[in-house]
Amino acid sequence: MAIRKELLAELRQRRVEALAGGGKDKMKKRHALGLLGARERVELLFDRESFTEFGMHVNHACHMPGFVEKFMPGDGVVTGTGNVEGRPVAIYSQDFTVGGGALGQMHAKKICDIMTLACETGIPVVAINDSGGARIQEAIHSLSGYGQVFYQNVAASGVVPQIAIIAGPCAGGAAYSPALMDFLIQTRTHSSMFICGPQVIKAATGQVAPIEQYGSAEAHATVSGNIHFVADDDRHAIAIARQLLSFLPLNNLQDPPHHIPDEISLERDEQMNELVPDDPKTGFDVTTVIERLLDSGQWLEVQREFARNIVVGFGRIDGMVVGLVANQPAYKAGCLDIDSSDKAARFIRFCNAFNVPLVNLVDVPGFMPGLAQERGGIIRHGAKMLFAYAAATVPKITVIMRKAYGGAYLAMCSKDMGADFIFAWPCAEIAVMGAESAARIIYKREIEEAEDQKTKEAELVQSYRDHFATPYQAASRDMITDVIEPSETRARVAQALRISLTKRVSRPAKKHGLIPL
Amino acid sequence: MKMLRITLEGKTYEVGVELLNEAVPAAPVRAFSPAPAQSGSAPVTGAPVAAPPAPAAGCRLVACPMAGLVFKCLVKPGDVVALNQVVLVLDAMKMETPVHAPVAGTVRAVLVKEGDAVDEGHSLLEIEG
Repeated sequence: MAIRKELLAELRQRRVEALAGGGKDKMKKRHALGLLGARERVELLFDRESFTEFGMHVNHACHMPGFVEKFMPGDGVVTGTGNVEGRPVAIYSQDFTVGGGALGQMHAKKICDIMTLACETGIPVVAINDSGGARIQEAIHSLSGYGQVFYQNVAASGVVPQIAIIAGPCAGGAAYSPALMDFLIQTRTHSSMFICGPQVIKAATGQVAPIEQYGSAEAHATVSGNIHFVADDDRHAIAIARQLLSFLPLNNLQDPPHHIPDEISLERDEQMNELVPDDPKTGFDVTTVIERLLDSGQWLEVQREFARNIVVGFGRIDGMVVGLVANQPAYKAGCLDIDSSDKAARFIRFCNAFNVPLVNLVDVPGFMPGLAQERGGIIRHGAKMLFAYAAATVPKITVIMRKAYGGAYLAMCSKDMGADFIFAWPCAEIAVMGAESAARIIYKREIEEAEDQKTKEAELVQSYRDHFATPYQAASRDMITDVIEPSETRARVAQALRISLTKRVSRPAKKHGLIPL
Repeated sequence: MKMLRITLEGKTYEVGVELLNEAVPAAPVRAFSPAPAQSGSAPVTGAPVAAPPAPAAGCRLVACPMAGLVFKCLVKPGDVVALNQVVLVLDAMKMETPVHAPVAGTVRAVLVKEGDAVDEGHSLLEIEG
């Protein structure tokens, strides 16, 4: 006996209603603003027809009179799994057309369920945030729902990669879910992320603060450092998420997707010898080195606009995925400061959690001097870099291009911090401090007693530089693996990566280290 | 020149303001030296919070990107500069750091001289775009 036609008809009808979300009119308005719907975003992320939806027939669970009769398709969130370049990914995408995408009890349950599945199966999570906030009618059930989402975010942290896209409002407590994830992508327009709105700030402090000044992608990318990527629109945000996933393993037990060629490339890149200026006081743009070091088209910079004195991002060298950490001498002389230390330490820890080898390009004159830095806690923040590098057990390959001075040299992963390979270019200056300052301290008396103090000082500075500001002092004490020509760098780093991909380190068991936060 | 005191997010700035259409040689905005921190004020963290005080209409102040010494000043009042042209070089942290023009225009005032010690956020010059 065949299934009754009415049952099939009802299912089809229910599907149509669920898929319609908040209806055609609301979708039209979104499209007019250049915004995509929650399902359109999901479809765009996944390979064609690979999406499997979870909980399509869910409705809200609000008992408040006047609300009970309402129909909230999916309770304002689309969840499920699908494939990105053939690899599985879990998703949740808030639907602003359904009750403003507000989070209620069932909405939160759907998010938690899909995240639990992602954790247990070991697949990354992409979260598209577009919600007016808590559904006030559900009172503490909404609040509790946020708590449950946060708990799942933390449970998943370091198990599967978590990527948040902020593609609409994300205010108050809601902002803490993306904040607990690994990478945040925010769209340039029609999106905002903040704890307190302008009215609350005004009422509490008297400050007049337009949302653009602190809640926009621009503000978060440049000043607060809360986000990692700025997207021009929804499509661009999804494209960034796909590109990011292409560098990441599905979970912490897998290696990232290396595409290792059968043949080892040992080519020299003569142009690398031209990139670093002869005068050590002249800056250069480290991204020119990065571009030559990496495989063509395989570079995704993370937090490009924030703390520009350090450059971090994912790339491939001879097909192998690496996390790149590089000083940027073209900005603030490449000094390490509070923001750049935070930025790098967070990135290093992500790479370690997900088995991404680290390649470090060093040209660092030191930690940034100044009252603001000292009072802002540069000791505590700078310590995060030392901690992150020393705690990282992934392959660590350091290339000292030029300056490597003092504590900042250690903080960029010297041999003492457990680097497996250290290559230095012949123009490297590895020393405890700059030649001028060192000579003035060591030869204080000689300079004071000289007839022509200036000439004597210049002489002694030069003599100090000749002896100490070279890679050979460090090389003679076995602190570096080899001194190499810049032109050999790509081949040598690629070889070092091949050798160290099987690296295993065991440390004493503990619950977790105590990074100085 | 009129002296104004501006309080922004708990920090007090003393700002000199001068009308530019008066025919006086200009050192228009000797701005942005924070008054001594009041006790109990929030600790200063990396990024400067306050926007630079507004220069005369159509003018743009070039803020110092990091603390250091003015090594070379490459322009003088009246010079026409292109966007991103190097206008000044700082000597800081064993490095010479170029400072670029944020807009194309005419240099209205150079607010520092070679050898001056400047802090992050200090106004270096003013360009009329």
